Amino acid sequence: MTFSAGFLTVIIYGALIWCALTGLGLATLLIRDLKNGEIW
Amino acid sequence: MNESAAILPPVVGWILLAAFSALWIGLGIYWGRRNKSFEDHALAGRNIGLALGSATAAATWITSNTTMLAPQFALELGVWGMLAYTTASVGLFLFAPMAVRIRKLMPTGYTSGDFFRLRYGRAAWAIFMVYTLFYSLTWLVSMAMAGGILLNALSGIPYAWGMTVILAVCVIYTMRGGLGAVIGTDFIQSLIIIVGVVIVGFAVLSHVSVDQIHENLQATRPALLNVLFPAAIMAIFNNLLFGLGEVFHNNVWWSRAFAFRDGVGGKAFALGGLIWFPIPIAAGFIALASGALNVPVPAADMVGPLVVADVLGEFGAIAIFIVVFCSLASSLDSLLAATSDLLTEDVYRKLMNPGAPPETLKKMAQYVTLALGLFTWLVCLPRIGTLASVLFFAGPLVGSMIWPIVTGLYWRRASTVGAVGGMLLGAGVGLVCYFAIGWYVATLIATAVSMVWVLACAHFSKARFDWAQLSEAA
Repeated sequence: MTFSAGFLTVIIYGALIWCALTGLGLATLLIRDLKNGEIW
Repeated sequence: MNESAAILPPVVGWILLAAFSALWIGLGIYWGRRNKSFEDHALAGRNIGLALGSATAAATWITSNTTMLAPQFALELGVWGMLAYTTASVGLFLFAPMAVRIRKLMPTGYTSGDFFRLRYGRAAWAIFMVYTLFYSLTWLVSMAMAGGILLNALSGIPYAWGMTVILAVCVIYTMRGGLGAVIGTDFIQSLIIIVGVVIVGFAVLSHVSVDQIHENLQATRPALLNVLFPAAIMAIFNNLLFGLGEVFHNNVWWSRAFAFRDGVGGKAFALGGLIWFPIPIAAGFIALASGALNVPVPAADMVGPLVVADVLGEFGAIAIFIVVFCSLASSLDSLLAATSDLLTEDVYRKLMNPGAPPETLKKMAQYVTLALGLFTWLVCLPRIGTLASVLFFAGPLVGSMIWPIVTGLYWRRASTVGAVGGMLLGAGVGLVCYFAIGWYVATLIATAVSMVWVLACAHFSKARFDWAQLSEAA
């Protein structure tokens, strides 16, 4: 039994899109904390 | 590796090294001006917000291992290798509720050593200190050594110079800026790593499709696609438990639980886990593409940079250099800060000078950071290649500490006999199995033996711990 090409596509593109979204999320969190004066 | 075999010209490597070194040291000095006491220096004033908290949890866990070893795992253990690596994020997810509990039980605590001493007494604390210092110093040495080796392989910068510069930069900004500088630079480093991994990943996919990668693997190395790859499945358990043991015990993570603002710890560690989770796949799949792209791979641990440099040329090599440099710095600085705080708080303050004023403690922490840097530099200088593998040896040690910590935080009946016996028996049996069977079962067995002992002792224990004793760390 082997991993299919479809499964490989889902995990690779999924991981890359997930990374991109977390990068955006981090930047958004920083801006929110900056606005609220809650950085540190 | 000589200069001609490197994927970047040395001059480009030196320019990148100088630019990022100046940036990290400048930020360390700037942020260090806020620190007036040991608490400011060691715990950033206990006021870190969610954005910096989440980023530092992820960035500290993204070591050069994540960006370099994940492709190697994929090349040797296939799809399961990448998936096995992602299980290290479970440590961050499970530490999220523990961070809330730690902050609640020890609102004025400083280190994980404080917990062991107050919860289980001096004997358990001494064993913990031996295990954690062995692990932390080994990790520190292996990171600094990896820094020199990787900078040499990527740009031809001589090993001794690359290792010295990256270590010196981290020591300087950690000494000057303390945990605040470490966490601040972690945020920038985590964003650089994430953006770098995404750009490189999509760029590689623009040269070769996933279908082509799959077709090539099926034709040339079908084992890498095997759903029932035994060695890879064993690696899942080893990685998972090693990750749990590391995160649960090490002061790198406890110091952050103390440093995050009230109410932030749980969310920050959970978000950190979510940020870290896809990185091994996003960085690791590149190795699987090496066959379809016809990239020769003379050394498995360099497969990631070799594929990226082959596909994307100098731009890709620069991107990899920056990602690796940030990965190394984000882990080295955290280890330096956390180990220095552990030695300052648990050894200097608690054993040698209990009445030391905050300013003296801050200075002592800075000297200890410098001493740790010098020690690491001296050990790394001869470039003993096998030293990094000692880190695997620490697996049973960290695995044996999982149950004493978890039960000690949540069960009043968890006892000193259970904790001391669990750590000694677990590590002992685990190390015997390490040599008799192999590294891939050592952590699993150490954790299991420790679990049985700790749970049995808790079951028969008549003692009931008073949680208020933990707040005495003030």
